[in-house]
Amino acid sequence: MIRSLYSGRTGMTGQQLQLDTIANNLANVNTAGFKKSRAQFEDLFYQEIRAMGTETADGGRVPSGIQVGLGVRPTSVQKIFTQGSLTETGNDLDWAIEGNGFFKVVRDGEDYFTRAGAFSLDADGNVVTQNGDRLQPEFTVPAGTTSVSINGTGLITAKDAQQQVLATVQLTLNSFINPGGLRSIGANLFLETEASGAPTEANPGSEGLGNILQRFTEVSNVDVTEELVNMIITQRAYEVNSKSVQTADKLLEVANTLVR
Amino acid sequence: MFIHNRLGLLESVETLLGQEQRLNQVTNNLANVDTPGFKKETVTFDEMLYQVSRSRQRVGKGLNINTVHQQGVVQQTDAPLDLAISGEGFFRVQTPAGVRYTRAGNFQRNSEGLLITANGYPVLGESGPITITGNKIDVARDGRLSVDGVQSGRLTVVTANPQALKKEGESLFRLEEGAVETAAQNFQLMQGHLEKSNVNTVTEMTEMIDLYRAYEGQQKMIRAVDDLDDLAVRRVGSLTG
Repeated sequence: MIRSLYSGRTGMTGQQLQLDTIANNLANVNTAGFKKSRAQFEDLFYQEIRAMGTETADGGRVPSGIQVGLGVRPTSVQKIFTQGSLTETGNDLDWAIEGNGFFKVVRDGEDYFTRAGAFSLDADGNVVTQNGDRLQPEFTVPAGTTSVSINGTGLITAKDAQQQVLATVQLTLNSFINPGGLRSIGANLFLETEASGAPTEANPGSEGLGNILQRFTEVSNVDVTEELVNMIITQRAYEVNSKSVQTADKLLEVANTLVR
Repeated sequence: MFIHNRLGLLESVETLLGQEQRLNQVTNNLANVDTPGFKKETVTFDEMLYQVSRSRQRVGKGLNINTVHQQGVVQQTDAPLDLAISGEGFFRVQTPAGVRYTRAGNFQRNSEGLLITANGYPVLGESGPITITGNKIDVARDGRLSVDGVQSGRLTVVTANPQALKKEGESLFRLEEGAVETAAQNFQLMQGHLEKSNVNTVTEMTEMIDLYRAYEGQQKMIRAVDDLDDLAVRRVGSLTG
């Protein structure tokens, strides 16, 4: 059978994955702290029909040989951790990281990492994410607090109406040597893996970590124009791959009419 | 024996197979239209002399597939470990089977900070694999790396005779035995950029139309030869004419 039927199919499957990725990026265009992904491809292996450099009958050498590629294969869907732009919200508990680093939160006793710094207080006064996961190191706002502030290097201070300091705690951020290796589990959370390496914990503004900006959130780093352009490319690429399957089919049709 | 007719048939079938091969190649190019650093293949045919019998020779077709090492489009991605080579050369990659070459610059770091390809093979610098532990990575146009402002090694970019480079899949090239690599001179590394595939869909689509028609034409040839045979069988033996 003509190989292109199958290699054309690999192309179509690959473009489908690409489109899935783009669709997810676009769906999260307004998700705070969301990082876009991109699908990556590589060529599949090659089938050798005539080797390069083999000797011909008259003693010469075949210069380029015949190698037929068998299509394409996705290697990974990689998260791109570029900085998203920051928008001012005016909310005291909206903290954006300007630079590298992740907040650590705990859910069911396990550590998760996030860049979505839109926090709230739960019934007991703990600083939690929108899903109720506690920020680490934990900070409980004492009774009588009227304002919570955080400075660039992560010192959280709770004050009462008379500007008396009621409690302080030092926030730490975590960085990874390969953030692309983090596993996204949804809900803006990432999980440490063997590929990402262990987190390095430090104060904001030190060891290459970013500063904290209060009353700001980091919007997603999805660029709508870029995604739409990619979508057009993907659609066209899918189309041309379907054409090669179609052409293979037409060749077979022509071959079939050889016998009358 | 109608040796001439049979030869026509033989050549037509040869062409049909050749066009099928061309389609396989076009399809592979199109499937890799989004593969970083992919280099397309073109199919060319050349005349070859075949020995038919002791006294006869005939001219047939030889098939050649060449990899086109033309620069692909460079796209800006802003990912700090995306490196595009503008100009000649390849990155050197350490695989279990030996050193391989690639132009797919979509690199990453693993958990130990080792610079790796999308498949996890270490990328080689002047002094072997490169480990990056800092946060801010700068790659100069000549391949010098600096991490957090401190010089730390240099990426090697090499060239070789394109005829001696053989595709191996996984966006890697292998160097034929006996061929040697030389340091590349005319190149610039572009950080935050990625070299896309050099496949042009328009060219490939016209190629596809062309090969389809060539295929169809040869089918007609085979039918014509068959018609001749048919006539010969029915008419030559007929007494009434």
